[in-house]
Amino acid sequence: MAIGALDVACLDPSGGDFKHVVEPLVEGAMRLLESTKSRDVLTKYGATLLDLQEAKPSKQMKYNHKAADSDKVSTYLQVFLDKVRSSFPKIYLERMAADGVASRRDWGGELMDYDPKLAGHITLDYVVSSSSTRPLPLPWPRGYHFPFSLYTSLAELSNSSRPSPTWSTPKKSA
Amino acid sequence: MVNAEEERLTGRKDVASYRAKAKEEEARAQELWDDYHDLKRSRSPDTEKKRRRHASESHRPSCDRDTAAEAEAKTGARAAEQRAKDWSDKVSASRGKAANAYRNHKAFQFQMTLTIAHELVHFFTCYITGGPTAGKTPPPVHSSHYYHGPDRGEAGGYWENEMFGGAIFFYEDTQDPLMARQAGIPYLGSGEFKKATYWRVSFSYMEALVDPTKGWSRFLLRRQQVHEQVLHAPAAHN
Repeated sequence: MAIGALDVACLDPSGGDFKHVVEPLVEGAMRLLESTKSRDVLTKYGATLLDLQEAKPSKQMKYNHKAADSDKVSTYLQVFLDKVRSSFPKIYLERMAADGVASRRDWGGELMDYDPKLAGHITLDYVVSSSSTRPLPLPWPRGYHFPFSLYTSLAELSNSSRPSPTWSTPKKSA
Repeated sequence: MVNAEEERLTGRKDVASYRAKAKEEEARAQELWDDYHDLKRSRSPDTEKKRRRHASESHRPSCDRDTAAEAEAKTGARAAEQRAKDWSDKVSASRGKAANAYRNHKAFQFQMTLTIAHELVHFFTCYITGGPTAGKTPPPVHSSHYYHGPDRGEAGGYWENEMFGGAIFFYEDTQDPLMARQAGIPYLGSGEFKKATYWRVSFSYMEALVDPTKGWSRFLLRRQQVHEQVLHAPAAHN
């Protein structure tokens, strides 16, 4: 299933459209998460979260799952992966001190009605992802020119002083 | 008598064979150069060959060609050989740079892909537990390679640890001509942070992960953990 409604925004006025550059990376990330091994890990992790909640109830846990819900984690995981595929959280490209940050919001709803776009956004550091400060040597392998142009153009941006943004920067949480 | 004249000019007895060998090498270098030229201009090799043939046959009179051949003979086969060698060197250097750029590109993509997957695990925490405050990872769930404290864990690091058997970080390759512009070499730190053993991530794995046509699924079809497929021999400089 293809990634649906992917929205990528570069938080720099001179930035371009990077959607078709980021899309294969998102696809790769989804393939990783949907692999059998990853499903096992996430199911185990989800069950751990619920067990911890049951053992030591916390006010932070907004949804009071029942103990029996631990058995449904694999179902919840499937719903989560499907929802993320069909409505991927918005991605921002911005200079920052880490590779990426997941900013989450209160999406307040039923587990089956989860909407990743409402639940937050992902900010990726294009300086780290580019790690280059000048254009890479020519000639490009044929067909790889454009993805390279992302890295080099972003790297060039990283060298210039950043103009003040004309729109509000999304709030980040750790 | 051209050969005799050449022998006199170049002082070589085996001009004919030498010249034939040089011509052969020059033709090979020219072919490589054509490939490189096509690659650079994104032209189809067939079109470019046709264009060259057309240019040489239609717009150069035969007497000019003869004159050029004589001039070349006078210059000597050694010059032709040197030219051929220069061409070969240029092509090799260009291809080496392109290959290195390709490797770096895939490493960049791999890094971004891992980052996205890592962040989505945090989304999963938020999904299971509720809102942003509730989405904080509980302390028992953590990885020693990432920051964690008494009040919070690290879900993304935990996922990486369980998925790959450690945490993947990129380290500088001092031999990479791209220097500060390089992606670095991804290493999998296996075990506790301060006692970790570092393993170099296979390039073919990175390439296959970011490009579905490379058949990433083959890494999963074998009934082994993914990280066992990822790893090569331990890095020499742990």
